[in-house]
Amino acid sequence: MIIHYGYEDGSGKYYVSINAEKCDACNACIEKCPQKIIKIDTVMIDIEDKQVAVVHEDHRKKIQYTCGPCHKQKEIHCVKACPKGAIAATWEKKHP
Amino acid sequence: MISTGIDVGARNVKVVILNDEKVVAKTMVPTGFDPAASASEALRKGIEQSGLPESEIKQIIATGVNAEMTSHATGKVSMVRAIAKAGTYLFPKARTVIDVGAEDARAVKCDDKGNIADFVANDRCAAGAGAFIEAMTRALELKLEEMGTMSLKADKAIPMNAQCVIFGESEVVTLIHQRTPKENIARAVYDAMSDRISSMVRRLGINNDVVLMGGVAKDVGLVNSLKKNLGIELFIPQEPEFASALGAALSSSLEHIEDRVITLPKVELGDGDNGKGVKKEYWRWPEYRKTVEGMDPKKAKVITAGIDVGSVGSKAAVMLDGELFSWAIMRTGSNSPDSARNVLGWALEGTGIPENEIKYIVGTGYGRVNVPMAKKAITEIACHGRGASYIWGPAVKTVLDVGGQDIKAIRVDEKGKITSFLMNDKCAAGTGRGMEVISDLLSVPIQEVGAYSLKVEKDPPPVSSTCVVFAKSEAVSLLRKGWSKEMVLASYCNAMSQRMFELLTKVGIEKEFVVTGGQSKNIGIVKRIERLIGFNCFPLPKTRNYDMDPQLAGAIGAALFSKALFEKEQGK
Repeated sequence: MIIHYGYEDGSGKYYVSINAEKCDACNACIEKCPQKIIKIDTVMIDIEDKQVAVVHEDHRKKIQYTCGPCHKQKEIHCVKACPKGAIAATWEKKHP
Repeated sequence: MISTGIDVGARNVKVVILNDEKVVAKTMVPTGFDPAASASEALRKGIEQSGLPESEIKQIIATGVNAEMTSHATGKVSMVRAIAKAGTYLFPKARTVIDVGAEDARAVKCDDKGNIADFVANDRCAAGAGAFIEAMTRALELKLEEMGTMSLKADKAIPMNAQCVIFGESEVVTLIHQRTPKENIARAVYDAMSDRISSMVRRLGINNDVVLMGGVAKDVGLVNSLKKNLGIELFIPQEPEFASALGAALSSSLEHIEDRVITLPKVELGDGDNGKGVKKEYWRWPEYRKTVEGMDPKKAKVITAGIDVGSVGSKAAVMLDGELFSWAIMRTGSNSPDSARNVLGWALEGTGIPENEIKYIVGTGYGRVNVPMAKKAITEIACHGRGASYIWGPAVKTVLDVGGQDIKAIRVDEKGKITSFLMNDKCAAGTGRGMEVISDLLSVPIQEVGAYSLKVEKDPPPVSSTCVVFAKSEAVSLLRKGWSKEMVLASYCNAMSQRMFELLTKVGIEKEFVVTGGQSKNIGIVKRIERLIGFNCFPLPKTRNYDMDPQLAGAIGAALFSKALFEKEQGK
């Protein structure tokens, strides 16, 4: 189950997508994220609960700003750190 | 040398006239419905105040969101340049300049010579701009000047969840209903706004000194909260609302704009008055309940229920051995536990089922943690996925749920298991609440919005901004241009469908595709999404002896989870 954290508003689309089936809560992304926006939490997959990496609630609506620096430097730490390839990131500004 | 700066903003037009870099006139006029006329008036007043002969006013530089609307300008300058210019002129040590306007906000990083090193702008979303505070003062029934000082008396910091002006209003109303002191609500409003402004500025990096300008810089509540959030001192010009106009007057790099005069017709807007002096609520939709005929609850082995407390509507579904038996849909009140109780009570009314015979209840939706009789709360994503599979069968692969305060795009496999999803609850664009705002503005009943929007021969281009606050102003200006309500609604529904389509592409669209939630009843949206994805929504199966309501998907999913969880508990 891929969970897309983030949003799309008038300014563009901003997401951090985590595959909850692939994730095994190894903490690699948490250690590498410079903005500390990832944590381990319970996610329900069908009717079973599983501990996986999730984007912190406080950051889900500000990814445009929190993830901006990584995308600007083209060095997406969380995506690179994940040994399972369970994380993807999107940061696209719309130009009026 | 005499130079004039005119800042044609979203709310006010400001004029500053300089004579050898000394301010000789300063005027402000509300922008109103005719920015061109207001700009002329502000300019005329400015010239009068300066005491200079009109022939001396040769250089007029415009800036602001409506800069193009003035026919008097000899040049224009971007807002970013204007604020950098003014910031470093007023405070030579300024390295970061923040400007918060009525409908937008921006920040620039300057070097020691006042050149722009970098900038960041928020001009596509009204949250984080003055409009946010304005809307919240209306919800709190306070004057703009009162809220700032009131917030300083707050004794508790309460978090505000909303990141959109439209949702912020509903949240404030809820807080008022919960009897939260207005002082604390006022502070929450400022804290929420400061958080957004500081997130924006932090992306740029903060270099001292930091200057804050724009009308909101006069608001003590915001300034106090922003200082705390950024942890630094803020430098504020004496009359911060004139800073951009001053910056324009100080700008010498000119970009010629063509002379033009814009005249706009007067617009008659529905005043929402039905002639009896009572404001008609166009957004109100009907509540109802239903029991499926030919089913006997006495013969059922397991009775379960699902309660979906949404931001706008509360839904309850009662199931006999996993088959839908009765349901109710009503508006969510200010209190989630009461809404949950009322809607379940109504769904059970006349069925002869006492509440204690329900083996398991799952709560879902926006207010799911506040459903007192629920044994478990499950996210609405899981419930909508499963509910859609129940309603349409295992062929369903893609579900779009458009609720009151959020949009969800969900991919499910043939077992109703979710493979990918996203939920957008940051922005009101396209949500039921956004539709309500537009229906109220145009005085078109909410149930008829879709049909109205389809009464056009050819779809007009979509409104340019998705933000509901901006779309509202755009709708007014389209009406002024002589567009019919049908055309405006078509344009709005067009933009919203486009937005939903983009959310769907994120999770991938695969047949069969269905729409759930309140907006599944908006034919204007559904038809346009079908056009965009290139195929039709999967029709409701005709095998049932009653009319299924796709708004129930979440509650049905919750009731099905109840059954699964009950059976798991029993060790089956």
